Amino acid sequence: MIAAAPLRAIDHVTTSDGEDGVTRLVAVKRVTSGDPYMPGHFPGMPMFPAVFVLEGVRQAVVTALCPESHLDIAEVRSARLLAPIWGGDRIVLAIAVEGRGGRWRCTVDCRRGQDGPRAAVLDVVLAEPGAAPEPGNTAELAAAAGAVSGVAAGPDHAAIRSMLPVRHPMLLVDDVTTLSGDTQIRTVKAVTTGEPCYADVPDGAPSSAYSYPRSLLLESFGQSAAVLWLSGRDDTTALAGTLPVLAGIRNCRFHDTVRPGDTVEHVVRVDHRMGAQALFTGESWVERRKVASVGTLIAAARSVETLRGADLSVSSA
Amino acid sequence: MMPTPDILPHRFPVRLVDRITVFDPGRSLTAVKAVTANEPCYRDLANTAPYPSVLVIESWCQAALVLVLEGREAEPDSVPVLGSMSDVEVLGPVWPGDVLTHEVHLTRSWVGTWIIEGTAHVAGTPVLSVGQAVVAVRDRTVLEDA
Repeated sequence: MIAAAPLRAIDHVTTSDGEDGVTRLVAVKRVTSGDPYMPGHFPGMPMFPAVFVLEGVRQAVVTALCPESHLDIAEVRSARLLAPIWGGDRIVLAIAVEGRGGRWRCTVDCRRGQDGPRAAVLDVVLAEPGAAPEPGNTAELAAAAGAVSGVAAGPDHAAIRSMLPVRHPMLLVDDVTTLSGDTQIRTVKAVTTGEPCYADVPDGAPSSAYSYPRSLLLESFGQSAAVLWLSGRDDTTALAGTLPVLAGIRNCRFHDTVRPGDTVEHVVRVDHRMGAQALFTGESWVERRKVASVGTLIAAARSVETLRGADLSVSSA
Repeated sequence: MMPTPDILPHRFPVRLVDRITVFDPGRSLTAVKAVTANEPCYRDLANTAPYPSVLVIESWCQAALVLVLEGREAEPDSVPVLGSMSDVEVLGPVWPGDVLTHEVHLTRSWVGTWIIEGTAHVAGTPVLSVGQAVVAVRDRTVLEDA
């Protein structure tokens, strides 16, 4: 089933049966700087967006095990992003899949090359959308809006662009509704069929094929966190020569689908700051439906030299 | 059943209708289109700019076209075209993050031609008013020879 996707996130996948009902998949992707979305992430230094490794896991399981399904990312129990992935890299995803009750638990080891350095370690659950929807909590959204004093209009469009090191087609924050000091931000991302992820959806596809890719939804949440982080820093010079990158995710759950015509509102709060790392938490809403909740998102400011030079090991992620 | 934008001949990246929300066959419809900085028109904008007015108008016209096409038998060799527009007013800017709501009403029609009027708004604020748009269906070969 061809559904909306940011890119072909795997080139091929092979299957072998493991023990105890665990299926083992190996998926391979040659990353090129011409891949969709790459030129906008980051201009002049195109890096494979970490969320696309999640997309690769989804595509590998759908392709190998249930090609007619609409399996989507339901939970990111944990993700640790350990090293950047560049154009020209060949990434190998070793995926152990355990299916139970319509939920597919995937434990993933992503390396650059067959036995190369580890780029990511993931624990992800895939499921059919709507298998276990969680009704939105309207009180919670209202509370999120009013809980913090000192609310002000956030940076405008020009400021968002100048702050984030991403560009079309990877600029996934449209507007900042409110910025509450350096602790909370509310942002908006509108979703439309004119976006590149919808380019290959065929005529007559069911509405489920138009579900906005959750990898992009998570990226949009992460970019909102970056705006909050960068807005709150007085010592912007301390960030000179660095890029804010996604270092890890814990306890992220998707509750409902997002479709073209929807406007997603992200509510992101700072949990903790520690030097070059910051921890965020929050939710994403479409009107009064909660579509995602993020337990912890870990962002790290990496120096360009470090990113270019070596493999990273992220502490405490 | 609610029409889908699939009935339009437009495809990515120029399909500018996301969803039909209200449909009264042969009379009127309401359609929405979300605007985001991730659309191709923003690719080369070094700085920020409102959503291009021509795309707001095009999006409204596509909504008008859905109303026309939903009432007809499919004819493979015919192509719907915009014949003319008059009394078009762009009333305000549209920004990334906004959702356009298009209202289109059929005022008159005869064989192969439809007259449509309407508005577009963002959260109740008018951004476009169209006094009259003429939609015509023409034979593909006639267009190719023209």
